[in-house]
Amino acid sequence: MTGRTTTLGCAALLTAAVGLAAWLEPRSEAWRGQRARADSLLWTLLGDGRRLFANHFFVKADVYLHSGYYPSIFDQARAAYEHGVGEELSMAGHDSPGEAAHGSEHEFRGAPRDWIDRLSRHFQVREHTHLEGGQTEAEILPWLRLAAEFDPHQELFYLAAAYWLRSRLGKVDQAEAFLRRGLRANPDSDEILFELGRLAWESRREADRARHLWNAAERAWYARNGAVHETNRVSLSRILAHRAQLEEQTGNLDAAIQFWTRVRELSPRPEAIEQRLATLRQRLPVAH
Amino acid sequence: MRTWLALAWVVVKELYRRKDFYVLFVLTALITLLSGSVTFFEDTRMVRYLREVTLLLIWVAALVIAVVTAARQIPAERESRTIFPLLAKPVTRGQVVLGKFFGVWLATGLALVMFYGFYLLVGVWQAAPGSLALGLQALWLHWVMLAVVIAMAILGSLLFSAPSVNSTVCLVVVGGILLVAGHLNTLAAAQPGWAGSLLYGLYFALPHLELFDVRDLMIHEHAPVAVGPFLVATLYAAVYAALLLLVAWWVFRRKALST
Repeated sequence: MTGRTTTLGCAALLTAAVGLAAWLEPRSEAWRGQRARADSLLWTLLGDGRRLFANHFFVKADVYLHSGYYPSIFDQARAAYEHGVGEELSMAGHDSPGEAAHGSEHEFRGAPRDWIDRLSRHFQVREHTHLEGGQTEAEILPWLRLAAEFDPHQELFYLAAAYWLRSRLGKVDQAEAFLRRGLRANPDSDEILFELGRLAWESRREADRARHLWNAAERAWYARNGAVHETNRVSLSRILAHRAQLEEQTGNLDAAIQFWTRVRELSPRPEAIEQRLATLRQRLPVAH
Repeated sequence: MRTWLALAWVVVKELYRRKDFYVLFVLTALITLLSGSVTFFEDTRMVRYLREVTLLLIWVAALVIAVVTAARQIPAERESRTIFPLLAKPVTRGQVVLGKFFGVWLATGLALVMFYGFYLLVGVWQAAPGSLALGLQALWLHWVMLAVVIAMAILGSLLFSAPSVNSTVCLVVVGGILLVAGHLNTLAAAQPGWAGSLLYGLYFALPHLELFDVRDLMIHEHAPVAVGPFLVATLYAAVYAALLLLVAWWVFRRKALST
């Protein structure tokens, strides 16, 4: 084979390869499913598997909050086995496995089954303490940030981080920046809009911004839920109640009455709201 | 005693001549320093996540060093045929097994001192060094746990055909023990009949390497382990290591060394 034939052969193969690549590329979009639309390297690499990591990191944040005193999946399974399905998360009337770990260690571990079990507990975290004071709560934040990085569409991660940043660590700017990041990833989230409204009102006392944000939250709520049901009324009621409080505190009693009236329709205890409405109506002539 | 000490010293010298330790140490240091340079929410006081990352890397690196070094000891002697002049001297097979074991154990001990020293430096850098007593306990417990792993790898090197097979099997077994062994009694209690008995048997037979993992105590700044359980754990590891070495010696004694 001459040098010319080799060169021509290589050129032909190269042309064929480029042609095939151009033909295959648009078709491969369909084969790769959601990964073809991946907007980050993590999604491309892990696909939907990143959600598993995100949940793991979120649990890790809870583990840190309880200073490592936390039931493993085996402890939770044991609680479910011994106390019935569903009991594993509410052993002590708490909402999370970490909260269920309150009090004595026997609450989630049970009594030691054998000598190895008894010995092993000396090498595990046995004291249940919370991260409190000295801004130690900040220790959970890297995991929440990582969780949001792995699954940006999980609103809970932004809300939890914002709560700790704003309420416990006094980092209002950081909380707002993180919530805005969450809003960019979840533009229709009524929860994030509501939290941004709380931040605007409770931390910055910016009534107009809070109003706009809660209006947006309400619109997002209706866009997501459509109609009010027994299961979804709490979140709407919360938006309206905060809006009503804002109007009350800024002296807009007419608007406050209007919002409290709507809250009354959603509340499981309308009589308490009715009392509040009566007080406001009494104040109304004075205000006018 | 002098014989197996001489054998052990050769193994220690071999470790610091090889690149494995240096590569793993640099990798651990690099990842730790990179993790430490990241700031979350403009807050520089977060140290626990960094402790977690560093300790995880130390555990992985130490396991790899221990298993890989132990797994190649006897096969390398056989492959290079240096086992024949060695056994032609007044050295018994038991002394070879013991010498190799102590050599790898001492070498991994030196590596651990370096790793935990680095961990301490990272703590000082982050202004949160943690409890020194707990740090020393963690180092000791880690080292005695590795004694069991090394004994297991030496036994494996006499049973499996290649060091790579032995290393893989050992790492999988040790990983499995660390993750699941402590919960086998819970699983056994939930299984009726023979399956439960089998799991219980396995639970008592397996060396509970997870006992020696006190990383959570270090990360979350809890008190050191009480002296009693600490000594019992040391004895527990010594018994398992001795048992595995005894079996290794028995297998080695019966093994024909083809020329």
